[in-house]
Amino acid sequence: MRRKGGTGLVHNEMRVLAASLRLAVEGASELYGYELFAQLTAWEGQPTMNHGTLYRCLRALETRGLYETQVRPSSDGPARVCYTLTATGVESARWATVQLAATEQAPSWLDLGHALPSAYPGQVDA
Amino acid sequence: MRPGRGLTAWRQHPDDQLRQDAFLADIQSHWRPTTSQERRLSMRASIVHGYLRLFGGPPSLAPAAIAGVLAALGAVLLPSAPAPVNPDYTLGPPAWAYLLIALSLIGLAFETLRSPREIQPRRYALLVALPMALGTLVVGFMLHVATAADEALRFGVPAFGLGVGVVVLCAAARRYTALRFALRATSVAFAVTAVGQFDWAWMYGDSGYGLLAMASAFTATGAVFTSVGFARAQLTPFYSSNPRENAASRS
Repeated sequence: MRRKGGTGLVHNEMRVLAASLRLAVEGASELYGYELFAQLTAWEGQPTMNHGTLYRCLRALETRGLYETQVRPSSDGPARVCYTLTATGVESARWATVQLAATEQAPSWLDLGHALPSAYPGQVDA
Repeated sequence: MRPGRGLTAWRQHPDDQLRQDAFLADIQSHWRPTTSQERRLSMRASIVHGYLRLFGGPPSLAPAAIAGVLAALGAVLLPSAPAPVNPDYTLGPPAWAYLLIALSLIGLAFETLRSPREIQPRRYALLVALPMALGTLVVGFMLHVATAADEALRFGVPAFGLGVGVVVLCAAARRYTALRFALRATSVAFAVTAVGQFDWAWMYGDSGYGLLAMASAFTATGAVFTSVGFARAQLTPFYSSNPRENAASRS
């Protein structure tokens, strides 16, 4: 898979970042794996990214410092891992949103307005 | 945290494993594939997750596991295959030296399979380093040198034998910078050996000695894989049963 010059992000990683940013703008700054998987599936009408690939993207982005993770014990089942965009992650997600919007295969759920600093100001000064 | 023992050492870091388990538990508690498309998607996801379980970590010595068996097969075949009449093709060293190298390569494969991310000095010394050093030194000194390939082997074979010995010594002394350097230097020696053996495989094949060509090709392929394994490996420190030694190794 070709990595985008400069950022070293692949297409799927950019989709995950853009989706995380949209969810953060809509109020869900703490994300769980299923939530992202379900939202991507709902937005695209059918599952287009398997959850193995989603996990691999999240793991790669976490390694690059774009997400913070926390494993949280759950009272009604196994522990869950929570993903939060870091300040660098928010910047990269904005960049990814703009880049994806400029491609021919831009996801229909993408909203360029989410890339504006005013859309998600909570992390700007972080 | 103590690294995994045995085959658990193939898997990713325990923290990554915890995260992946948590991620999977979250998915499985909310999502069950129902349509054929979802089942296909789920199968692809299982493959990716399985891959991450096995290889989701820094490079290990894993390539040396396959390589050890291949190269050992070649080392046994070389002296036992029908000898060519051409005096240039004389091996020189006695068969027991090749047998020692073959045994040490099997030891390398076994030890690598058991713990590909750590070198346990005592086991490595007995099963790998000592027989390999003895066998390769004898081969290096007694090798009949007639071609450029032999020149490569005369340098490469004893160098990797000594290199593995130095690797074990560095692991025993807990000198991890020196260990990395020794691994990379030994990797070069294996690569030089591979060049010499591939050349011989070509020459044997060209002259109609099929079995010897196969033996050389096995040895060369094994040397390439071992070279790759030694060149890329990022090993975890060996954890002793003595906690004070472990504390010293981390400091």
